[in-house]
Amino acid sequence: MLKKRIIFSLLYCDGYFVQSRNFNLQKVGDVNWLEKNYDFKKISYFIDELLVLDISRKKKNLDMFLKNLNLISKFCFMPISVGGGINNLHIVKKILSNGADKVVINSNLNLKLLKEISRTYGQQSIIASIDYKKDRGKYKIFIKNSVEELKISVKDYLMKVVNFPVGEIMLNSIDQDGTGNGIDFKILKFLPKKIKKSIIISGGCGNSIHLSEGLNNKKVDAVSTANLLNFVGDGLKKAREDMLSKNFKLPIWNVKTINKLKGK
Amino acid sequence: MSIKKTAIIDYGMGNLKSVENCLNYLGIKNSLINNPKYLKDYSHIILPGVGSFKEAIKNLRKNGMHNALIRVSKNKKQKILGICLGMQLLFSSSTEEGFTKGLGILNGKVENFFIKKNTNLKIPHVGFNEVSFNKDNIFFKDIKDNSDFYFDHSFKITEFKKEINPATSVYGEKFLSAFNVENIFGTQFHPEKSQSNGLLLLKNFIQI
Repeated sequence: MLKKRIIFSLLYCDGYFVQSRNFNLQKVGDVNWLEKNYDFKKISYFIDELLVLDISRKKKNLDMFLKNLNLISKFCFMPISVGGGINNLHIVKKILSNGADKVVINSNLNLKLLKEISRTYGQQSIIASIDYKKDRGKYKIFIKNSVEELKISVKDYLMKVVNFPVGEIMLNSIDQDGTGNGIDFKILKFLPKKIKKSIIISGGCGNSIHLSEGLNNKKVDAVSTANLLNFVGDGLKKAREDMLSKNFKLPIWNVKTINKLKGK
Repeated sequence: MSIKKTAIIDYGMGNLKSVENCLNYLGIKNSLINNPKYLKDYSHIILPGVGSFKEAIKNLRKNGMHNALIRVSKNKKQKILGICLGMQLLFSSSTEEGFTKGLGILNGKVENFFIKKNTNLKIPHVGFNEVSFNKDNIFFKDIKDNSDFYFDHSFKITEFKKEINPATSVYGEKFLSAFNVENIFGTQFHPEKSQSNGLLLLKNFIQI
């Protein structure tokens, strides 16, 4: 039986990892801070997937980002999805050669780029990411870190993306982002009825109850949280253990075994 | 071959770094090889794979790896492990984007999940799913039956013989999730992305 996933998202901005709230960023620390406070080597043993997004506001420095990605991915033995301004095949190749298994495309979700990437790497290597928020009661789609609004209805955009050559679709609520107020499930109503792509929902997860609510929803295949501060320390470990104790159908492995297998 | 040496085939398509990271963690020395003339020096050869079957065969032919791998498969002292697309390439053919011949080391067709009458199945099959195998399967030594492994694929092999020691999973239908026959091993899932279960499996492959 296919299990649902808990995904942790790391937001990277101009050399630092950040906490985001409604897409406003607060610098938290660099990769050394991450190592010290998250002991990333151990956190990766408690999640089903890691997302690393380069949401740098200044000019993107791909080489520095890839250096950070390499450090993070060295002790991750689960899937890693990476994104942030991907707009050509050359960047995809570099990212997939530096620790990533899948790429996340948001602002440049166009058929030409997606066809190019899927022709070489397959559509299962692409996650389509969609940021949205409510504006005067109506859902609107935004790109470029919520700066530019797309003049297309949410329903039409979702219908378009569902038919693109992508493997999964990630729905990210700008309104719920970083608030710890729980997931917005209303967006799911705008998805076509018989959807054939996996859905990742993101935005608002502050604790294991939110993660549970997300995974309990029939239309949701995976839940993602980018709440760096709420899950610091052993927050992710505790959340997973809590959900497993309540018989949630999450993937199971043995962390002690991973530690035992370390070679000399 | 008395000395164990592990090679990871670099043919421009595969998450090489992930496989490297696992082997490095396990303390297993490994090298990236893109020149087929060096294959004969290695006791264990890993063929990773992410992407299009057609493109993969094209790339393997381009650098001579295609015929070199077929030659290696006939040498019982050398072991090959195909991962995901790498496993699919070992078979006769795939119907991804038309029809493409594989390496033909094993008989079998790689087909779309859609071919059988499955409704509402999300494609690709992505996430951790249970893998079922016979308890005396040496490839899965120390691993619990129905353990979770990470999959991400839209094509699979449904017809196979029990002689290849098949491990199976269910997604709409039963399909081949791993196998091992003589010196040829394969996993449809990604052991390098499957936490402890995957690390154990990779260790088992190298130790056999």
